[in-house]
Amino acid sequence: MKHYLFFCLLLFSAITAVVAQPIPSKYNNIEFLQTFGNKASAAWGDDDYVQTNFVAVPLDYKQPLYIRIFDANCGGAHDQINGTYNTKTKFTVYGGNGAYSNEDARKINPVNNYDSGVLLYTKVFDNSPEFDNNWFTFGPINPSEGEFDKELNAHVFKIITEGISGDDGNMYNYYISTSGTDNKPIEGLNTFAYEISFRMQPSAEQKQIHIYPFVDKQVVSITQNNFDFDNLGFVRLTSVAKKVNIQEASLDGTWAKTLAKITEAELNTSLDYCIVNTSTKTNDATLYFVNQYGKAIPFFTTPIGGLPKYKYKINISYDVE
Amino acid sequence: MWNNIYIVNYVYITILSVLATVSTTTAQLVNIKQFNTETVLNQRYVYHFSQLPNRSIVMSTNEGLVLYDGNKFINYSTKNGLANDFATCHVTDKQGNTWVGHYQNGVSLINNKGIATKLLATELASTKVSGIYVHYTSAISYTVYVCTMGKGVYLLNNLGQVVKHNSTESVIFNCEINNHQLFTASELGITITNVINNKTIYTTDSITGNEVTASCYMKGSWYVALKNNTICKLQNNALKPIYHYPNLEAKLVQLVPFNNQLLINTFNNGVLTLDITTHLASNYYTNYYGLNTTLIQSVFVDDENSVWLGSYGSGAIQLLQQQFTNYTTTTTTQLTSINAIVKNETDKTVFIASNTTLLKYNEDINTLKNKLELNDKITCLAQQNDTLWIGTENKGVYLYRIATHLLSSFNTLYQLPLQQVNAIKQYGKQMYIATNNGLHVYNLYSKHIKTFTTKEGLLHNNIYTICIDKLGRIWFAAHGAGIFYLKDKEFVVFKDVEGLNLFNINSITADDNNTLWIATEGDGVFKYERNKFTNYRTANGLLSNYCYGITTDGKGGVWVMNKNGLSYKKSNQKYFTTLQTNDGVLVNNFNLNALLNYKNEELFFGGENGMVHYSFTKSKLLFTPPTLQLYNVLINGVPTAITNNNLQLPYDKYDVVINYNATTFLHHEKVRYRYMLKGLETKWNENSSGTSSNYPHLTDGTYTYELYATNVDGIETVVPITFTLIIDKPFYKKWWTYVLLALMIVIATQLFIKYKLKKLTDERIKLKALIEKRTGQLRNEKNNLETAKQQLEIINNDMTDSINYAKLIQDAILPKSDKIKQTFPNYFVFYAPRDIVSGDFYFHTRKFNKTIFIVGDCTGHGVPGGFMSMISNTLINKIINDIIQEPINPAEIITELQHNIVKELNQQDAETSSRDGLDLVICIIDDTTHELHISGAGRPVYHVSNGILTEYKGSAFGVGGYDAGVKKEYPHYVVNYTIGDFVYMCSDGYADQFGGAAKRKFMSKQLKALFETNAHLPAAQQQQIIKDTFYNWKNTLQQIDDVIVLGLGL
Repeated sequence: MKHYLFFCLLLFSAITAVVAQPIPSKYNNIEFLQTFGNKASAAWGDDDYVQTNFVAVPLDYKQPLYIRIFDANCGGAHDQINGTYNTKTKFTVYGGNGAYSNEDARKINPVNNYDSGVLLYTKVFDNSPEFDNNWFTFGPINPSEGEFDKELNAHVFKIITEGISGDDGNMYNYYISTSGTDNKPIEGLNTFAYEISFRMQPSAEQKQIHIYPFVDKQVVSITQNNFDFDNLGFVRLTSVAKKVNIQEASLDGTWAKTLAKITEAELNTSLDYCIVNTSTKTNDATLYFVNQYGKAIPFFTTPIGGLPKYKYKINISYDVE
Repeated sequence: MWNNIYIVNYVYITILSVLATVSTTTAQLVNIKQFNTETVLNQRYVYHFSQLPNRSIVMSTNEGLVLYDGNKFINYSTKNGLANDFATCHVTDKQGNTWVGHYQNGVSLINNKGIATKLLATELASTKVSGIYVHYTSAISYTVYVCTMGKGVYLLNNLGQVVKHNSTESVIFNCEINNHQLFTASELGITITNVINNKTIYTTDSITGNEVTASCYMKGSWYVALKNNTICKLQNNALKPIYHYPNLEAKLVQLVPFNNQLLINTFNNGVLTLDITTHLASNYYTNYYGLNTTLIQSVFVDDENSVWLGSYGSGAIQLLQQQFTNYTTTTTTQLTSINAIVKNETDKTVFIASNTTLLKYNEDINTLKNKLELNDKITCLAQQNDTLWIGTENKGVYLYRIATHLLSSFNTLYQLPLQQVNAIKQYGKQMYIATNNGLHVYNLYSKHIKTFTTKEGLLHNNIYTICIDKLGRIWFAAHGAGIFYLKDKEFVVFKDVEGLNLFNINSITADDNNTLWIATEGDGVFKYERNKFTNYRTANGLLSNYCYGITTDGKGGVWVMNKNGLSYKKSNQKYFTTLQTNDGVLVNNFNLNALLNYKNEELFFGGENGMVHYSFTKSKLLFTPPTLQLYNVLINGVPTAITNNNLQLPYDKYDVVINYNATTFLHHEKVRYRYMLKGLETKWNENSSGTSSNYPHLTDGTYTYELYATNVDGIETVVPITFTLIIDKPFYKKWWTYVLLALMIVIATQLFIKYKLKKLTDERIKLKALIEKRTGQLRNEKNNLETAKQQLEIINNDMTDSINYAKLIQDAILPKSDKIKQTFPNYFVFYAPRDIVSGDFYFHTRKFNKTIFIVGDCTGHGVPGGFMSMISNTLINKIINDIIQEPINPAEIITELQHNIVKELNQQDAETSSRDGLDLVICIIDDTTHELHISGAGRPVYHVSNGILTEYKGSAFGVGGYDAGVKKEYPHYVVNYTIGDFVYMCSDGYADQFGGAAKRKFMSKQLKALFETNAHLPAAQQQQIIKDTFYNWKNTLQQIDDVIVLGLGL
């Protein structure tokens, strides 16, 4: 699969020349990722209190990069309070050996060596207002401190966010920047994850969330798993071969999953899972995808191969008298 | 008077001047040396610096460990056995082993022989080493502390074995060991542990707001930087804030002790300094100084007090001395080409002539203001009290009152032509204005102007500048006129200054010792000292022979402006050193004489792209001498080890190349070497900038190589590189060869002597036998010879008797004396045959009442000559008696004799006929007419009359011999004589006789003189003289021919 990822990353870089620095990106239409303190109930929408994101830095980028976190603290604006703010969230950046290549790092759940790799930066945030509604920056980071991956042709960094105490929800997002003080994109950079915990905005904001899992040619079927959607909307699958495929949405504190078969046309493309909140409430939820073997499928903040568009088939028949 | 000037020209002021209020902050450019991928260093990220005992700089980079000795970079990576290419930190112990902490894969130990070992590879496979330190517990025993990001601290012994692990699992992002204390800063807070007793000295929690971002140990105390940009000192177990940077948007990532200050690396906002005693803070450098990066990961101060910056993504940067400050047109838009500079002594501001604008620069507040705008280019400036004298390109001089801003035209006031002004200088009460139309000398007190032009004897009207030395001589800089000065109304010109070929003088200055320094355009610089000129050119280190300004600095130094930089020479240096971009001189294309020496404290140089300012107070001499390193010694191209400073080679011819380097980091390119190979060279090779010494075709001998290096400030290495190179002698030059050879010679001589003795003995025996044999033979021979001798004596006696008898016959045919005396009583004959019989003869007869004398000299002598004389005599008798008719002609007699001899001796055939014949002379005396008829064949007749000798030459050929049909003709002289005259006839025997002191021929000339001298004497006396003269001449020599001399007294 990695070969195809690599190929498609190159293709993507060449064709679109679009930069994917924010996590989540503008393609996702997600305002905040969320991680709850490990004392919070899973029904708040975070099943494991850990969120892992990967950053693939192209090899030809040699200047320092910065990993910036917006609203890293848990308190004040954006965050989900549960009683009083008592949550500490640890953000850690890994590079080097095993950061990406270790199999545990690519699993859905944070088990065993999920924190593999060389620890580069770590920082624990509480409800201190210093970083409330503000940016905190890890870095600068030497790109070569990332784990070199031949298939991706990139140096890969891993960012793990853990709610190490408390029961509140920390809402945040990232930006991978060339600057430590501003958000300046890095050309050719992409980010990906195997599970995402995020905040769904109310329907009034007309925000449709998009997640783009990449389907390599080994994939026969894909199972979308969502947690704690609270039945506030629906999930819709679109691809080059599927115009509309409505998926099952979970209830409060439960999982729901929908399997979709992959057609020949969908191989080596990204799928578009669109999540629509039809309610007036915000909601925090979690989502991941597995293939027919139960192995997690990565989804990129910038869809590999471009945005999936359904390709209409035009069937014309002639009656011959 | 001054007021009058301004009043008169007030209208002018309003037209020309604009008082501007525009003010800008200038941008200075810092003097740095950049090591990055665009220059020489391939590594972009430099995490850590250190300096080895041999002074090389070591850098930990993300692409290996890099060693830099000022000359070249050596990279250690996984190819050299390192655990990982990414090095985050390192330390070198006293044994020269270097411990390298890696980003991952553990630690590498590079021992002092360069062999690498991997350590902690498993434990730290995915852990970053954040610090590595050596702690000595005794002189030789030590522990290496490896601080990690996530795995606590590992303690290794000197073999690299883990002796302890402080398994706190903590993320140690800052650590240091000093004074037996281990300082660690982690996400858990600060811990200071006594590493000897392992007791915790101090600890604090990070979450309380004391998160440490940097630390250092300085003068017995720990200093830490906190995340809120506060510098604290650990005192009495508490962090005591000593300084806070309130508005600094930076992270203080490193504290470095630097003299009494802390260098504070802000990572992205320059480096700050904080005096730990006074707590005064200032910028060491800030980003606006022109560095090409703002991200500094590490700061290091080397032993030359040079500050190194390890950048994050842009390699390494060395901050050089900041004695140069550049104000360039690219950073300060107000600046254009700068032609003149003066510094106001009152407020220390600097007036700068930038094209048509007069700018005022205030260094304290770093601002530049437009003060004045003229409608002509400003060429020069001079300050006199509150007045600024402004020279222009076309409009003469303006006077500008600094306080009141009033401006007036000096030329208008004094009705001088509006002309180009090149220089204005004040010496005492005189203001000298050098123009393109001569020199104006203005007396500031009397207000009088005196102008010097070519009419007054000036050598050129276009004067670039002048200089007045301590002797009151006014030196002029002009083109095409050579070096000249004015003293006591007399211009003195230096002719034939060696090296001055182009005669273009641009600038002149005099130093405190009254030594004149002269800058030329094309001929370099001349020093005039003690009536002697010394020429400095590029060979003496000048950047160029084209020099546009010169000044001394009051410290013995000389500064020269070239187009692309400066050249300077310190008092202790023989050669000039160049200063260009790499040295911090970013301004170039310097303008003619656009320089200012402000009280020997500061120098200003103006160029087309700005101004460079040199401060002597910021200039610090580099007292650290360079450290020499011997890279290698190549013997015939092969690196060869030197053991104990000694290298011995077998005899051969070798090409020896010695490669070396002087480790210094401040202006390494200005290091100069001197070296000598004693035993081959007797003089030092000096001022070499190369880093190798070459000695081709080195043959046997003992050589001592010695190398010294001198840094930019002339400080020389204390310890030279020296080693002895011995190339063995060839075997034939070794002592034992000589001994062996001597022995061989002795033995050979002895053997030879023995051989010779033996041979001689043998030969003596042989000879003895042979002698005896030969003696017998000789005895026999002697007997035979005696017999033969007796026989020969008999024969000889017989022959002698026969010849004697023949002589009687010959004598019989010779004329009888008494008969001759009947007609010529006064005659003589000196007749001396060489042998018994003679080839010479004489003949006398009378015919037809004339007396005929003939003297003949037949070929040969002895018996053959006698025969020939007999034949000739017979034939002459026959001819005279039977053939000749009257009138008798001596030539006919000879002709007839010729025919008869040829006929009688059968000389008609060239091949078979003999050459026999004779020379003869005939003198026929007609005593009736007193005429002499003379003819000769091969011989002359001499006639002496009245003491004067006349020679009558005969024919060139004689009589007889094959004539090849050629008719021989003989002369016939008819000469009148008087009584008393003498005629001489002779053969050539007398004149050809060898003798005298020189044993040479007597020669005819002497014979003729003899005749001439003695002709007046009686014949008998003459005969005696002739005879005595002959025998005296001949003396003991053999007579070579028959001799006959016949003298006739007429």
